[in-house]
Amino acid sequence: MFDGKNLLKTEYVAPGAVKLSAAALQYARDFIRTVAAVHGDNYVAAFDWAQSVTIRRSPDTTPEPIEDCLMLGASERSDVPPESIHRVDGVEFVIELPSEILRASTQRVIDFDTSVMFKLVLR
Amino acid sequence: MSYAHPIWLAGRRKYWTQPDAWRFAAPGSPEAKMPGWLDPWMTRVRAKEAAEEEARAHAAAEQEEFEREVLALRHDFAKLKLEHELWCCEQKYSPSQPRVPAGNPDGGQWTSGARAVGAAAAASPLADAAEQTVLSDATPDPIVPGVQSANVIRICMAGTRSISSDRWGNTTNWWVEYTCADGFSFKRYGFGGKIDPFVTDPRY
Repeated sequence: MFDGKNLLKTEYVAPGAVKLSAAALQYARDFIRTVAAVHGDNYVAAFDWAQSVTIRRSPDTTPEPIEDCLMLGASERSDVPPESIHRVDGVEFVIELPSEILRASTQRVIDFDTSVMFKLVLR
Repeated sequence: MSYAHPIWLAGRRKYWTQPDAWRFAAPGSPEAKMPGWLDPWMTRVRAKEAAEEEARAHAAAEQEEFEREVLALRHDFAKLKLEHELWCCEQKYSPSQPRVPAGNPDGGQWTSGARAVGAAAAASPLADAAEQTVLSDATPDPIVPGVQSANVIRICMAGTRSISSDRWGNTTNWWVEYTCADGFSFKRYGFGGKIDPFVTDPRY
């Protein structure tokens, strides 16, 4: 049974500690607007460090594991601590990373990269 | 109890436990049956047990088939829901929906139609006459040069999930399966934190 012991614990990154590239910011803006169009404005973009992800290309195929990566999701505003919300050019977002991953980052920048799954990298 | 010499007891034990002891038992007694002999009553019990086992296996197979159908229906439902939401989203924000050009007070804002584009373009001091095209509502909006189009991001929705919590009710570990379009899905495990109800489609 999965017990989560092999996963790194993620923490909210304080505003300003990690920056977004212009492309990543635009990506988050478009995504959160897409979500808001259907589900309302009660969501903030969330850059999460995804671990232990398996993809299934169709229901009858075997799940394939992919490498740990950054993922862009939408969190309900009430689920995130207000002091963790970054506000850049009208876009509100939170960043959740394991401290080990954050320490390994040299530039502390989240960038948009079409060559990877979920299109986000931490440089 | 009368005394029995141990050697005599060992002899009797050996006598009655030898492989062919049944031969020396009184005829008609239960001990006179050879090893492996099955009483007819026992045969009936075994037949009944076999029938019950077969019924259990049949019921388990039916339950498994039912659960498989439920899972398939859930998947189809999540897929339809997602497609419906994508459709709703595309109705509201089509990829060709324009934004108000830079230089206007509402620069960068999405516009609701051709009239807004025309009004914004007319109000722009930078716009030249060629760009101030007022479009009819009856025709589809063309892509206006210099106007940035909005991008619609494909989203995946959280579906089946499992959450474990500690004795104080705090979420410890969890997994969630996200359903995307075209039957694509992915499963994500987490430790602590929260589950995002929506994420971007990793393929696009």
